[in-house]
Amino acid sequence: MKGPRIVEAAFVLPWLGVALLTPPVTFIVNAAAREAGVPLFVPYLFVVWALLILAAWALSRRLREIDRNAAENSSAPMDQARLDERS
Amino acid sequence: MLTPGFVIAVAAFYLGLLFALAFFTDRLAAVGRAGLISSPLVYTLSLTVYCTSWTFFGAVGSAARNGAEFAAIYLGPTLVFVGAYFILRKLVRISKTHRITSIADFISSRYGKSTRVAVIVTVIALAGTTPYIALQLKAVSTSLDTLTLGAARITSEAGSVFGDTAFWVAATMAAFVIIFGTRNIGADEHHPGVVAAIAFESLVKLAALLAVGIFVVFVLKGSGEFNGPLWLDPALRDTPPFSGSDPARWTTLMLLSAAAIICLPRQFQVTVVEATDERHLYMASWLFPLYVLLISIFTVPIAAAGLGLLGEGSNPDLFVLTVPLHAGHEWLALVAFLGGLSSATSMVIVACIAVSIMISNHMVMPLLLRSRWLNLDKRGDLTGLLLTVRRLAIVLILSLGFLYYRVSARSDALAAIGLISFAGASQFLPSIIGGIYWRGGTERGALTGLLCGFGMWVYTLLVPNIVRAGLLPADLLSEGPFGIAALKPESLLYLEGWDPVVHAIFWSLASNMLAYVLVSIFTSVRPLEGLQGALFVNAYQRRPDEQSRAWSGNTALEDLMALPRRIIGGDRAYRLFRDYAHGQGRTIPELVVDAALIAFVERELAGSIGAASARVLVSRVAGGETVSLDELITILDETQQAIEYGRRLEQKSSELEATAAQLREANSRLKEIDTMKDDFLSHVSHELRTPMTSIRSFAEVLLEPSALSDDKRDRFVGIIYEESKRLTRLLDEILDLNRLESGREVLTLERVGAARVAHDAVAAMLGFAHQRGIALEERLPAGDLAVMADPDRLKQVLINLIHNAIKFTAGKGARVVISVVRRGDWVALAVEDEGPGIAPSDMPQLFEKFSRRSSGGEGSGLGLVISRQIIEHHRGRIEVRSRRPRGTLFEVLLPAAPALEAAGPATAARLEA
Repeated sequence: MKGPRIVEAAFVLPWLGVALLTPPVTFIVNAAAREAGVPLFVPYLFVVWALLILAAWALSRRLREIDRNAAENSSAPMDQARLDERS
Repeated sequence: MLTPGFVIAVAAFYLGLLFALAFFTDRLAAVGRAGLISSPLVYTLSLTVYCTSWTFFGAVGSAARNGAEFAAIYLGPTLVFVGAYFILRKLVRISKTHRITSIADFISSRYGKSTRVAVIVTVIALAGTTPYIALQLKAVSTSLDTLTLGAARITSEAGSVFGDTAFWVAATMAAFVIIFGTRNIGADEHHPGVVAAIAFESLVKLAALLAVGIFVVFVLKGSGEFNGPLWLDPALRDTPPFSGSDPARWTTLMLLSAAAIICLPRQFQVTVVEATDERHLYMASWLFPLYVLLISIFTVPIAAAGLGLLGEGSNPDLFVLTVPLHAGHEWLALVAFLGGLSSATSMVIVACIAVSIMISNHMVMPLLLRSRWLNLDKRGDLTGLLLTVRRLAIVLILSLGFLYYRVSARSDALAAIGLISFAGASQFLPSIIGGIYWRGGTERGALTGLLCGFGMWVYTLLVPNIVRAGLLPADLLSEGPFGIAALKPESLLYLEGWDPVVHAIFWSLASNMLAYVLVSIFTSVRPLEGLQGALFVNAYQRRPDEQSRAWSGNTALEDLMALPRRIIGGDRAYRLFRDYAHGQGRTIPELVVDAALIAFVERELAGSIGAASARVLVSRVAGGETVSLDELITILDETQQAIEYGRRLEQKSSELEATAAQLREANSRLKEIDTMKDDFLSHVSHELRTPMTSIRSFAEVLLEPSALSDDKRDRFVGIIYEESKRLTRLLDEILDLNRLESGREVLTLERVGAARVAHDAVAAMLGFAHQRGIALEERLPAGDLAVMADPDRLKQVLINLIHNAIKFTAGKGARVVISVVRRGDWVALAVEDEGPGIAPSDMPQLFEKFSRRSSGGEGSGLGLVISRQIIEHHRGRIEVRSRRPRGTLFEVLLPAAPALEAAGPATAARLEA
């Protein structure tokens, strides 16, 4: 992934987390757990949680690189700023 | 059973360890060797002050009661940190740029450095923090009592205040915070010793909880027919820890905890204020979520094991402690106790620092500075006073917390305090998020929003809690105030059946946001708000390394001097400082930057750019303010350009105005002349017409073949001749006047004797006078008076005047006197008659074309006009004096010619000298 794409991905990640951890997705998980007769909800939470952390870890390394390059090129990181206005 | 003495000794030893750690870190930091403290790892660990004893013990309790809900408290912050690249990074960036000292400072800075906003934020923070501190005190004392006595004592049994464990906990915390939290006043409120202690405590609480969790999962076996791990006993399969959560409450709690991780005063303190480098957020964005995942990973097993081991009736909030205790592992319970103690103390320490900074900076100091009798603004160093105020504030906060704990400990009201505190802090969210992404947010909008949200929060959450603590009558909840059911705090406007937290969050945040947005839209942005808003919203547009700027006394003076130079120009600025220095008996380089000089500069600047801008400018240069110098220079240059542009526009427009006025004048003059020309033409044609008509009619009579006597014929021809002569004379005069007026006629001035010219004129008129029976009398000087004149023209003027005089003098034997006299530098040629004089109403028109004196019948009416033209060409003038009813005097004044005889020797004399 190129620089601007990384920033966009970083922007999307927390919203993806919100979508996965709130209704209606949680309703689906609860319903599936009831069907299976296994308490699935808490394990599901922890799996999503761990994946979010993993993604954040991967992204933070790239973002750090992008910012370092931007600082070296001394050109303002416009893409972040612009994306930032949207968030 | 562990003896109380032993446990207290361990706790004291642990707290002593914290003191030592903080002390040595401060020592190292003072010599610049605390590198580890400014590492991203320590930064991230200090963020976990979020995990207080409420979550340390309470998460398990929550799981045992409400199932998966405990996770929501951690998932909200996880989402915020996973997206740290956006909101949190911007907050840190802004705070580093603007030297923000607290969340109150942040919000008030954004809204034009409003003191009112800072005060309301501080009040909300204090109201939300105090009960939370009470909760921590309760957790520590309850866990201590449980560990040592096997059961929690209630406060009344604890007896006096000094017998209360919580009192000693609070006192120790106060000592710690006062010693390490108020050592000095930093520009940006860094407390390395405190951060080190907090980071260490975060490791302790994680280790403690993991130890208990590992014990439960891998050691604790079922005792009955199920001999696997106790927590997996199928009998527990349907208990709350394995269930889902109420969706409305779940979503609300996620939102609430996401808001709290940004807005809680203590959280803002560690995340934003204590941040030394915004790049630390890269690690924090995944390490902090990982930490909270680890700390909650064993929550469900511990809760399930607690239920299995101790039964439904026990207090699930103490499972972390009671499960190992019940299983006979006292040492493990001691570790759990230390973990809980760590969570509580770290929260209390950071919350006290954060709120005390707010109280001192935004409530006490503004009041002290404003009160006249203290005269603080004149005192030099306020650091000591500021520290004293903070220490008192810390004692106050802890006292309030302790008091709340004492009053409400008997009830279970404290258990709900965690979420209430979160809900209080979340009232800052609209102002913060709106403030960093929307330039339109105004001070009044933020103020109204905060007040509405705070009011709703107090009414729907805090008041019910106070009622449950037994401080307010219970029928307030069941019946509503004054029996008005619509106003029941927990079901406002008949919103029945909602969970209290969801209900309160709906009302408070909805009214907060609505008020903030609507009031902002309908109020205008004031200059300082606009400036701050632009700087906050566009925080990324500058590079971080340009913002940090080291001051020395020297550069400060230079910068202070650079400001006026930019605004009022180099010369004036130099004079300004020179005069100021003179007044102090110094030279400019000897000037000391003190409050007086700064106030002086600000006052001078305010005259040029307005008080608000001057304040921003000067306070920035004077230190610790919100706008960087480079930015200011940019603003200044823009202002300067605007002023310059405005001035040029003004100049242009005044030039245009002048030109327009000239044009208008010229135009009206043209119109006037045009009218005059029309008048003249109609006059001329009228004048020409009269003789023409008589010529034509007499010619017609002559042409008729009737018998006319020769006598008559001759008379008619004579009339025709006279009329054509008059016509010719008129045309000559018109031509003459035209030549004179247009300047085409050039007079040849020569040295002539005025008396001689007068005599010639009189001689020429003798015949006419004789004919009228008028005597002409000459009064001429003995020696002639020389004037520079065209003799023929001058004679023409005199003849005209004499002719008029004769003409208007009725009766035989009358005299017309012609005199020549010298009057200073002038030679006056006067013609005086004994006629009826000129009516004052005729005077103004005397020298106008075709104006005949009412008594006069003939004449072209141009004679006097021509005369005046001629005399004016001689640089002279004609004056009229009329003495009604007898006599008129016309006087021609000409400059006397320089004396011939005197000129020669005088020139020679001058040449010789």
